[in-house]
Amino acid sequence: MSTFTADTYQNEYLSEGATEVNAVVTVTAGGSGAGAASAPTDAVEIIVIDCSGSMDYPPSKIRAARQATATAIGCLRDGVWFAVIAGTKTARQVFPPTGGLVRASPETRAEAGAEVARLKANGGTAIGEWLVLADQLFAQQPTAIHHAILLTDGKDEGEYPQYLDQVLAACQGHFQCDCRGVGTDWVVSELRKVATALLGSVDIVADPGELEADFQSMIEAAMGKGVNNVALRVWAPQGAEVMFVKQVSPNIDDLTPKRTVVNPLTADYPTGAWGDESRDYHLCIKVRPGNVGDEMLAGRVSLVVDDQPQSQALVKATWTDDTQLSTRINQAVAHYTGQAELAQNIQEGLEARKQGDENTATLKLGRAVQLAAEAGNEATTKLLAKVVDVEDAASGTVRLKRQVDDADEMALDTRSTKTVRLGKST
Amino acid sequence: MTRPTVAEVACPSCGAVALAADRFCETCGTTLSPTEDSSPAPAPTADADASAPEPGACVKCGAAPERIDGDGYCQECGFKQPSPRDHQEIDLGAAAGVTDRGLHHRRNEDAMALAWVADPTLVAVVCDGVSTSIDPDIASQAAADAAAAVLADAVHQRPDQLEQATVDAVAAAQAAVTSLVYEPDGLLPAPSCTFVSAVVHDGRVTLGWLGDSRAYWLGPPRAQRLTTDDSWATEMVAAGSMTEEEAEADDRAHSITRWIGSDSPDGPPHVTTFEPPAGPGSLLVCSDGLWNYAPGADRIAELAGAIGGNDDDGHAHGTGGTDGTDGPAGRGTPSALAVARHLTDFARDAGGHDNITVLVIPIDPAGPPQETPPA
Repeated sequence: MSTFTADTYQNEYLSEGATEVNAVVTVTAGGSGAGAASAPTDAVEIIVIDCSGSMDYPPSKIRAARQATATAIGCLRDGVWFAVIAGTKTARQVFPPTGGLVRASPETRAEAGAEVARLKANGGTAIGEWLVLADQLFAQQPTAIHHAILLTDGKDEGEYPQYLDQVLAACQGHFQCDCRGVGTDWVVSELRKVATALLGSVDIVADPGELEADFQSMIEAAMGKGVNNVALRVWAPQGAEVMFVKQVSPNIDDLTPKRTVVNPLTADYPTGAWGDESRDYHLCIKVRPGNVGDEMLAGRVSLVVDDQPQSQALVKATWTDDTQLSTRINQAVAHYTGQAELAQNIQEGLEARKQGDENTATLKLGRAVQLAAEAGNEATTKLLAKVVDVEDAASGTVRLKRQVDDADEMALDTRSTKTVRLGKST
Repeated sequence: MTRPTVAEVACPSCGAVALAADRFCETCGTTLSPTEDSSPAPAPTADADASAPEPGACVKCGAAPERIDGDGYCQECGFKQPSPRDHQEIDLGAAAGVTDRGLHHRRNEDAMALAWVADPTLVAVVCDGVSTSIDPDIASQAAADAAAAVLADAVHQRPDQLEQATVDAVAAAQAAVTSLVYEPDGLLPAPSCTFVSAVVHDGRVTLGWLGDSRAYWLGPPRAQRLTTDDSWATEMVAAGSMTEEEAEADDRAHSITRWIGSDSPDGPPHVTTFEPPAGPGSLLVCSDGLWNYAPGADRIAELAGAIGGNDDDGHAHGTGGTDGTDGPAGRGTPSALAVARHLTDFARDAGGHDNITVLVIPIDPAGPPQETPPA
């Protein structure tokens, strides 16, 4: 069974009259690995492959998708329930051909590989329909850990725009879905919406040749999940308001809109399934001001698995008139505040660039370059350098590049929420 | 553990033997020290019982006691409940002590002991936990309790050897602190605290100390400090390296050079006997939370003397008024408790940067040394 530990990083000292409490809570899960000696947790894996006509242009896309799916199936642990869905303007189950789910075994993996090899690209793109079928299949094993991979190369079409939103609302909490866009004809915001709603990641696979390795690593991560339905339960005192709860590492995901009320002072924020891993959360709580010398519990953060609290971290507020204490900057809070600002500047800068607002784009992307350099976020710095010419990173002085590869721009957009961790020092 | 942790005291009302930690006399029901006075407790009034909040309820929002979690936080409003040690008072009638968290420290690391041992003998101890050590609050309490127990025994068994008893009391405090079990911290030293004790017996005061907690005589012919600090500034001046002004201006001025704890420098404690000159006065035993704001004996005497018979100046803890205000000497003389509260409030009003502990022991060499209050 897994064990969770939670640690708080904050400056609990507030100046007189201050009401905003910020803290970073690091949650680490150990001993949950399904590959460990303990009996593996039941799991369902569904792979959804876009088989629209455009997957044939160039044909390397559909070939790479077949190859990547076959490799992913090969990585499934014995006993894991699985299915493969081919998506066009409808959803068609490719494997098992009789419908339903089947347990992975040497035989079923070989049969599934043979079916996948026959996939053809022909039809439209209706992501909502694909997710509906996946949701139905997951429901056949309600207690297992549910994970899906969704691959597409295009824009959701042939469905009225609200349909996808309705499907996402219905699927929320039923399964997690990692989304991948191949090529450059898909829409980052659309796939990000799917991934965010379904607690998954989103990324671009610009080169179809990279698909296989990517699928393999996603399946391996999914097979490592040993504990399901983990939520952050946040208690805050009467009169306090939880301004936001954001996952900030390994990537930024604002959980605030996903809160479900437990009681008037407590709410749960879903975090999905966990393997042996560590994630950071940034909480901002507005409390009623106390007197100098008062100490208040501003928040209690517990990890809840299937409604059972596992471990907790305390977020405190202590009012002081000692400015040396109240003006201390907590490095973890400052770091992730900067990383969130970095993601926001990238997304807004790219949007302004699309709209032809070069001034705003230059300003925002310049600020992003500055923040990425400050945080030592090399991956993002490299991606930014493909969109802007950096004159001086320290001051954020940049010029927009005239020619930008679509794939580079989409990579910067999708990976803007990927954060780096603060070097270990507290 | 065989270490004694409590001193025996006599009930001020009926004289029955009680333990220092007892809150009520088992014989007659009189309230004994220390009284817990959790801020902001309402002033005791005739109808106090009717309006009093439920014991253990949240002091901020009044939530029921079961809503206070194991860490002392209210599960409704989040407010950290005051620790009993945040503010404590010992009122023996003719002598009294107050210890208070102050305004800046999150806990009270001072500890005190004050007990009648046998009429007319009294034992007083103040220990100030070193904030930059591990568990200083636990160290100070352990030291004060252990020393008070040794001194109380000595008064009965060897009243003519109180200076040696004081040396033994410091040794007992040292043993108590050294034997504390604690979780090591790479940055902080072992638990440690200062020490000052006074035994008032037969008109004489036997003092012992280590560190910078102090004793003062407030009375004729002049107010005077009875202890010398074990501090960097004092040592610099004593060695002739600096003038007092130069030494006091240094950041290191108040770093203590002697203390109680497993890493304390070797050497005997300071021990001396003081004979109060003719005329009534008060012995004051305190931590630096008070004297930092009034280092001179004259200033403290002035503050102590400034209080009238009726303590209705609305001090910080709101317990003033009807009980223990008038001293045993009669109407118009402030009680020891009123003086101790007044000095504590002075230090809080002056900034309250440190924990404050003030013990006030009136002594009248001409009259009976101490009086127990009327039953």
